[in-house]
Amino acid sequence: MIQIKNLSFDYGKRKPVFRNLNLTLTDGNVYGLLGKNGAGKSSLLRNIAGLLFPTAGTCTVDNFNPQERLPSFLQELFFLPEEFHTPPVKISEYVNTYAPFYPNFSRQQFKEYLNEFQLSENEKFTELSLGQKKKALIGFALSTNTKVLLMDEPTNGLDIPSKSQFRKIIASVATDERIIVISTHQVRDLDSLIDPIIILDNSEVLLHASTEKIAEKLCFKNVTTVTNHEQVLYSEHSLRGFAIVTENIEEADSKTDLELLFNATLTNPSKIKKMFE
Amino acid sequence: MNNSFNYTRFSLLVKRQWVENKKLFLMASFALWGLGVIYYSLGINWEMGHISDAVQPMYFIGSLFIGGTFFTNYIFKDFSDKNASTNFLLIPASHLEKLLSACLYSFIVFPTVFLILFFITDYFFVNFANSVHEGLVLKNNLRDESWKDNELWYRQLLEKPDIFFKPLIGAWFIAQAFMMIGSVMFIRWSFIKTAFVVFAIIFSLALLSNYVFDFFIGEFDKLAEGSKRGTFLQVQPTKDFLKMLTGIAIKYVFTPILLLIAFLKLKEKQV
Repeated sequence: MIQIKNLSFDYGKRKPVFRNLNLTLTDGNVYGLLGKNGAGKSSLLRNIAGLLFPTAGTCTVDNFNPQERLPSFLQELFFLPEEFHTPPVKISEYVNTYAPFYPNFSRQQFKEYLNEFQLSENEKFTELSLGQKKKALIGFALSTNTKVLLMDEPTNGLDIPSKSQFRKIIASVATDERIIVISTHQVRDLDSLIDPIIILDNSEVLLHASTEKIAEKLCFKNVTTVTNHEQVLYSEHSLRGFAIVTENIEEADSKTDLELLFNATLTNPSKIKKMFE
Repeated sequence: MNNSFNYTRFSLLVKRQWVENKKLFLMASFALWGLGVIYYSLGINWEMGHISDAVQPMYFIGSLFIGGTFFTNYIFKDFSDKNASTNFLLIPASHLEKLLSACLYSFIVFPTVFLILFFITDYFFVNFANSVHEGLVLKNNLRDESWKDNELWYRQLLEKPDIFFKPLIGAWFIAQAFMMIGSVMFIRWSFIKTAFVVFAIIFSLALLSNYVFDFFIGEFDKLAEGSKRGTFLQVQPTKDFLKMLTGIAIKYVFTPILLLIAFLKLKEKQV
């Protein structure tokens, strides 16, 4: 479990990122972390990974203080940043060097992921494209079988087939013991995968809810004209009129549209926050 | 689980450095040796077979200090790049293991490789220069009484170990440890910034030493001529004591303190 209590973090006094942030992430979920550019998604992931230290409050990951970066903590956490480093070696050399640090690493699993992504262990990182490097690292990250897996914009740079392969693989490794946190802008790439949803903005968590809860409280639909303006939380032009988000007063069934949800949350932050409290 | 030091994790870190940098290490060793060959070749009087006095100490000290600090800076190159730093800091090993694996390369591997290269080069050129002179004597049937054979440098180095060898080694370890701190602390241009800080410290200490001298001894020049000698005799034990203290600090104190600072900086590192 990841517990964040009253966490504040800033990049100097002029750049506060979080103020008294509270968040609890439980095992067995694939969390989707959404937010505008600069909302602090990467900073939050880095605080959880122990790469950045909170200025106030605490962050604990399975009773570990990430700040200490103890080996027993690090071997149960893998963080795949948006921009990553790959040494100038073959994939096989990389695996031989780094895999022994992770006690649950599965070579068989890694081979299967490489096959899925159509990569060979004999290829050198320097000869791969950015997307291919990312796929190799995603394969490595999943093969470590760490309890906590943090991914910052994992689908950036992946081609369309790879995105669906990624979704398939993530779905296959999501177990009851694991916490997967995926920060993304590309909500459409992952909307069938991430649940619960966390939306960050203005140094705080605006929304933290499961898609079931979201569907219960909000209704997403397409209409030709917008009526009942006071009930509409957000609307935007679509091909067939308007895509709207309303309060689900009639308890209607609708599919959560993450992009609409995100825009609705940013447009009506206090209202949405109150609804999900 | 031991979260402080584990030999397996330590050896994996050592292996990681080798796997990722072996080609560069080998090329750098060859380049260092090549520079030595060029330097010796230029410093030898080929007609007389005489090696200039400056060649051996310049190559030895220059390469040991400049090459060594460059190497240490390279070992911590990950900190010059945010992505590489992230990768390094998240390797499941303790900060102590990470620092010690860097120390192994900086304090043991580099000097060992360098000493081998230096002594091979020195042995070859000293003997070669001596043979040139020998050939000259045989050819011209001349014997110069003032001529002394070129000597291997390690013999000169070990002649007065307390005056030259030990402080040199002490200073080298301090320079390496300083570079470790700088490489962890500074993100960009860490080598230049560390060198700047070190020179600033040396300059400040040089200026400050006057005040220290004044504090213990007083302004020597303003003393009456007659009392200068007496004062000098009086301050000699203090001067000897300070000298001994400095010697001990250089040899045994500064490096562990600097390494401790590097360790703490590594623990506090954020990216």
